[in-house]
Amino acid sequence: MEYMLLIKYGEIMLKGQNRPYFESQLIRNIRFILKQLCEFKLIKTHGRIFINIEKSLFSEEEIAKKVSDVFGIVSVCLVKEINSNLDEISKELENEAKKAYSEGYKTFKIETKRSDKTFRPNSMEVSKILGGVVLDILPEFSVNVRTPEVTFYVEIRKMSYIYYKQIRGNGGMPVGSAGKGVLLLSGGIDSPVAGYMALKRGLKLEGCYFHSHPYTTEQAKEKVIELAKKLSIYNNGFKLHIVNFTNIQLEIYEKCPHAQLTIIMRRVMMKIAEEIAKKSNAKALITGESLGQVASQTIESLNVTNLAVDMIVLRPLIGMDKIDVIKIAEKIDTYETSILPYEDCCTIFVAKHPETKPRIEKILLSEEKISINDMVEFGVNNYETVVI
Amino acid sequence: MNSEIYLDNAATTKPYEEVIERMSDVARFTYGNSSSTHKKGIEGHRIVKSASETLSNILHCEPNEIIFTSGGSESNNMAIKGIFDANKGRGRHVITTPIEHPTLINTVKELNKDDGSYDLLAFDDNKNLDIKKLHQLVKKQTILVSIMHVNSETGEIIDLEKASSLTKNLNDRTYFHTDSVQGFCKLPINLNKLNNIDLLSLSGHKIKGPKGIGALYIKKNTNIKCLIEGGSHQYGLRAGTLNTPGIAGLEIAAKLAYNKLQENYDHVRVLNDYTKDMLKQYCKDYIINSPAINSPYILNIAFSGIASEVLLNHLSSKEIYVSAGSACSSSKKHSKVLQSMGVDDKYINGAIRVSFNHENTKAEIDLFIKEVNSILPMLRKFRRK
Repeated sequence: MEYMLLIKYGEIMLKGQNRPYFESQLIRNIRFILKQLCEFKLIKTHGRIFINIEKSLFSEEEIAKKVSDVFGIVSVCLVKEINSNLDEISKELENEAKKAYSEGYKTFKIETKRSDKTFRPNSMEVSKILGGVVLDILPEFSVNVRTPEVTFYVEIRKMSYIYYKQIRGNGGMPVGSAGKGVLLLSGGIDSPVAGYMALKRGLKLEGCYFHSHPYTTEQAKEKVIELAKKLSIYNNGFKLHIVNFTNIQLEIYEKCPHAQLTIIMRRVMMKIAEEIAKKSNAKALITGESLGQVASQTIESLNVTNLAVDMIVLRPLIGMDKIDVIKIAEKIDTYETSILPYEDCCTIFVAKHPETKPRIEKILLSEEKISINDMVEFGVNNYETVVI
Repeated sequence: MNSEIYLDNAATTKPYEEVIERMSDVARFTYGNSSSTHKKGIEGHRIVKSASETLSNILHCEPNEIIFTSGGSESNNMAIKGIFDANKGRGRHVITTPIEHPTLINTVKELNKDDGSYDLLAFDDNKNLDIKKLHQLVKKQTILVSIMHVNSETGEIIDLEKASSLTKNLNDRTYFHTDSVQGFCKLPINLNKLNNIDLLSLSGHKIKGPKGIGALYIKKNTNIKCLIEGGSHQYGLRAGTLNTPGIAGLEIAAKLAYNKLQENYDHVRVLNDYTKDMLKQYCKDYIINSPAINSPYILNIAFSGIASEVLLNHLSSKEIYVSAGSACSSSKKHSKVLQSMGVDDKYINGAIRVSFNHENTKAEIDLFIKEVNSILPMLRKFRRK
């Protein structure tokens, strides 16, 4: 292939002694994506990862785009590798400059870095010489050091690298570097986005979905599996636990005050998710709850829901407006799936006037009428796992 | 042994084994383009010719009055748009009914954009389509009346003889189209006798034939424009390389169904009556939405106090397949057809369509009734909002 990929990563660089741990997690995640796209060699040098694509049906740019989705990456650059001598560098830069010019760029600058400080001339001088080379062959291509339309980067190491195409990554931390969490995935717009945000900070996810057959359809289940698939891109696959929730829901419906259905149902879901999380050695629950969106998301409701479990509950969307959540959902391609009109178990039995300011004492009193422990035990023993 | 019980034959059917074999044979060996002049092409052409002849024999028309399409939807689109485009010089008025398939009624509604107008026939007090209303609706500018043969949700059979001759009496230049997707090869159709019908849509996959193939009967001298422009295939009325495997499959299915039309009809009539008997015996609080004069192939039942979708989900998990209303429009909340028939709100959410084919058995109906009966009390107790 014509170009190699140069992967730059950000925050990980700031880590001290733990850096190798984060780096190796990042490399594992990059390999996972690359394996599906091409045959390659991955070369790790100081603070840099190079990918040599040996064989692929995809272009380097397509591969770079997909790799840039891996959390922890700041950018992926399409680089030319050459020997570290000025003649060869000049010659290759001529080609790249011609290409950039033909793509419509009118102004440029050259930025040179040397990790090999013994290389002569020094960085400033190299930039100057190379600028002259470009201007010689393309007199219309003008230099603009302040706001260039395109920057040619020249890195002089043992070998040298030239590039001007950079694809911005998603930033964040490598998935898996922060341990594991269980995401409560409903099929709506919010929970996949919450999952994405948790993934971004390095959590590896498993999902938990509550299925109320026959009140919820097979299509609703398929939809959640589809959402899990979209998240699996960032998660190196995905384990989705589908809990059989019908009997639990019917019992709550039968025995508890209708105004409290939603809140009690959510508490039971959290308890079951917590047990599943423990079994999977996960250390956190993640929900798509935000503040004030719907009745179940008042601070009182969140509080009562939260009291159902001991495990930490992360709510990455807590401070976000719906419109911002939708923007991310569109970016990660879950929005179109989320808005498919199949009802999930949260919407099938809803009171006309649900309790918006529940008090824990009252809820606990209502819960005495149902056998919560049995419910949780039933839930934990009645789920299927779909591995994506 | 296959344990599934398929009672959704108005949505689609499982093809005859003979159809599958014939299609794979044609795809494998007789793959020539029926327009090519070499031997391979002529082999393909023979398939098309033979199928045209078979369909024309079944419908009692001429082979060159049959155009193969991609199915009922395309046939309906072509009938409406083709007649409108070719005849809008003398009038832009179309009449149809509120119970048509969406591919038809939505196409008619679209004509508004072309300065077309349309009227819909209403129901009479017996919840049957009121054909007599044509007297008030057919005008000088009416270029087309389109009335379906068998309603896909309720199974109501329309008297095509009456509807088409009344149309012609009122305006002999008005074309008459019928969507017979649910009637073809299930009820006798003799276009020689029904000579006021100008266009008729049919489909392969409703009669245990292949999907993606259908036909439009266009009576000789009908002024119609093509829908798909291009080559000179099919008398210039539908461009595109002919789907010979599909056409061959359609021919076999039509032959098999037509040869046993009466036998199959009688068997299905028995099943339909048996289902109603069993319902009467075991179930409570339901109504039958299918009218008295109906195709036995379709039975529309509505249970009070349930959401049909939930019943469907339950049956589906037991590998029993029925549909809520019409499968093509079941994503909508209510059935437009049942609504326009004036079905009580108490029942409209709980309507399901059971549709048979001649391979269904009484034992299957027993299992179906048993499952419905076992889940109804729970569904009525725990109702969705």
